Amino acid sequence: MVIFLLAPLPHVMSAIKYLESIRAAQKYAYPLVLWVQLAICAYPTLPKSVRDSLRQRLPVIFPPNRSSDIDANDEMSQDPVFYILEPVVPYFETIRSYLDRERVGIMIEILWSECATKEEKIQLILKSVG
Amino acid sequence: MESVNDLFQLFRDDDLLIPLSRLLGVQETEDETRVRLLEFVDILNDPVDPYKPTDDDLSAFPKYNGIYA
Repeated sequence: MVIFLLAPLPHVMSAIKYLESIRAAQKYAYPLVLWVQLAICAYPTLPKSVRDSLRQRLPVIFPPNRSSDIDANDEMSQDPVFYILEPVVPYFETIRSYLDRERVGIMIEILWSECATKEEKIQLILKSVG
Repeated sequence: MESVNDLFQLFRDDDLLIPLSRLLGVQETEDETRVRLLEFVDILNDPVDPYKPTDDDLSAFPKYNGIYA
């Protein structure tokens, strides 16, 4: 299971800190696998036109020292993994490969507290990646 | 998706409640998982100490249009 957190970075970092605290306190919690950066924005509740636009425009990368951790040809772990992606270099195909393989079960839409409407959120996403 | 209940239902529909409960550090009961998921979403929507990232946490990340995207 992969969970994409779509939220501003400080919010995502807060969520990860929370999960890390659970992991530290309870040994049966899943390990958090990756530490990367920002949110990926292709998720099914967005209008298709927006998703298509994001797929064309969204530049993402895993930090260089982590990129070797991810290989689209590898069997994906069953553990939940949080990918937080840095919008610097195109790396979206790796994520697409997970999507295409139907490995991605859940996308969480987190409503951004800074934005009043979904349209505002979409515009903010597009601005962020544009 | 507008609520934790919707989110919870989505996990249930996809038969992912157990992975979710393990992710959130609970065993298998739905009530526990729902409560923990609510807490998780609350924190994600409104970062608070001790989970709120520090300036040091954020210093390595770029801003876009003046915000952390």
